[in-house]
Amino acid sequence: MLVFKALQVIAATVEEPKDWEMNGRKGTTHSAMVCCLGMDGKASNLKVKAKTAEDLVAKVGALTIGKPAELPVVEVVPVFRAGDRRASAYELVCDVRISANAKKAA
Amino acid sequence: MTDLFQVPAPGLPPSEATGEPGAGLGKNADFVGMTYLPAPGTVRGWHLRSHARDVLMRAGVHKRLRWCGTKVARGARAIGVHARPDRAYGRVSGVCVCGQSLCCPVCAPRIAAFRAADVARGFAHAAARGWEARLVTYTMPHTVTDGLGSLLDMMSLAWRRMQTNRGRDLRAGAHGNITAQEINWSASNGWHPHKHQLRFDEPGRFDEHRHRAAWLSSLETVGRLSRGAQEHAFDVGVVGSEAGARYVSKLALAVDAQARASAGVSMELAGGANKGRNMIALLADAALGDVEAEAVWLRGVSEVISRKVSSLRWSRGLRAELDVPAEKSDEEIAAEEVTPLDVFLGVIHHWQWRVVVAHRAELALCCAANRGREAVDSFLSGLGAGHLYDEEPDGPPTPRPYIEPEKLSDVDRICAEIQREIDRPSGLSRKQLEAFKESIPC
Repeated sequence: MLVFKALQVIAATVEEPKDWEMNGRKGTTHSAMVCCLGMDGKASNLKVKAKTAEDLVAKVGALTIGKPAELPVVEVVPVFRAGDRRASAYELVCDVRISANAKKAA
Repeated sequence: MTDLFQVPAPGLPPSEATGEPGAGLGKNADFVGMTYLPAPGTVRGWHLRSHARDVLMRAGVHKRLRWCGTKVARGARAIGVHARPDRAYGRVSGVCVCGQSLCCPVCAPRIAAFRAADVARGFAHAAARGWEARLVTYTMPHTVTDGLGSLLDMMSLAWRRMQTNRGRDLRAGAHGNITAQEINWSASNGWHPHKHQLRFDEPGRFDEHRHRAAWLSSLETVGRLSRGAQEHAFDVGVVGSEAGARYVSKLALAVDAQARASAGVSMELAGGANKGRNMIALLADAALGDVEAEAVWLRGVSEVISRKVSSLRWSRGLRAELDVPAEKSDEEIAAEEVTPLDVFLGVIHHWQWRVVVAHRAELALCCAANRGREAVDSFLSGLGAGHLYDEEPDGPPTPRPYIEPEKLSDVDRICAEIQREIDRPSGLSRKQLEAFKESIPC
């Protein structure tokens, strides 16, 4: 599994929940953008998704601002600008790895 | 860290959704809905500044650049934390900045952006008056063994001689100029200081051959005229757009200046920017583990900050003639901007600030500030640095509660080391400092 090792978590911000509908099924995706400092010193904005708001709070709440973190990459989503056929960038959708100590504390 | 942020329920105003007025985001409900994240370049700049601080501390260089963004201003009893809802991150007050326009990865881009706006404004006014604008590049032959200090000294001597020895013929028809200094380094050619000048002349009055001859004769007086200087030491390009004018200031000062090539400047001239790395690019490579880049950067920084190397200089009277506002100093520009929506959240004490600095989390604190007081409390408690206070302490800075040495964590040891370094320049011996600290009531 590909893991994004962040040197430091800078900030996290919640996005508006997005409703989706597909093949007769409906749902809402909750997501947050986490700004991290990578091991190469470059900043990256990673997306963390969850099915419910509580899940999202639990995931992002496991991160500590100002400290390192490991975020396993779950999905790589291409980003298209209007009218383009090829992706101009790729967005990483990550999970949050909660350490064993944090699980015990919870 | 369950109160990192509050997730508003869909369809409801956030304050109602969370069940408390402005819960998790401070008392000001305007913070809710802020989805700004700091720009990647900003995050990288702050990270590089922290790395520069460590490098300078290890090398024992006690210059202003080392204290940029960490040293508490004289007389400040605490560090104020402010939110700026109209910006991507908040700010802290009571902390000094260096205002170094060539070497500091945080101050230099800020200064560059401000100066570029001035240059663009001046260019627009000059173009409206029908003046011709040209970008002139002055360089000096050098070898890989030449030290930066000697090159800067010779460059400034040659420059002064050219300015004072030029006859009236060269000044005729010239309205003024804006000059920027740039310093690059490459492994094959060594240090490469040079100047870029945006000059304004009456149409048809600029004599390229006379200016070239004047510069080459100045190089000859300092013993730097070589065979290659005839071709490469002087270059001129016509500037036809505002973007080209901004190139003058951004070329020398921006972090990623080497990646930019303006359409208003000839490609040959712009391509010169891609040869070698500037001070900040060297620092970026050093942060990735390039030992050679770190050594070169350290040598270069020591030379630059021991001399008065100006970032951008306007010729006398040009600002007034082009209706450009009065000049601000680099330190004033580099200081964090106080916006009209600035909100004071609270203060943190010196020992809390040292913990934040030890974690290199100054920008993270500013980002947390924009999310409200509770986010800042959450952030501080996550680092083991207490919480935000409402007011400054009445007496001297509140010392940290005493912890036995064997119980100190690594962070505490780093804080103690930083405190020793901060206290040392005061001139007191260590025993005197400890006696003074013991006399302070907890």
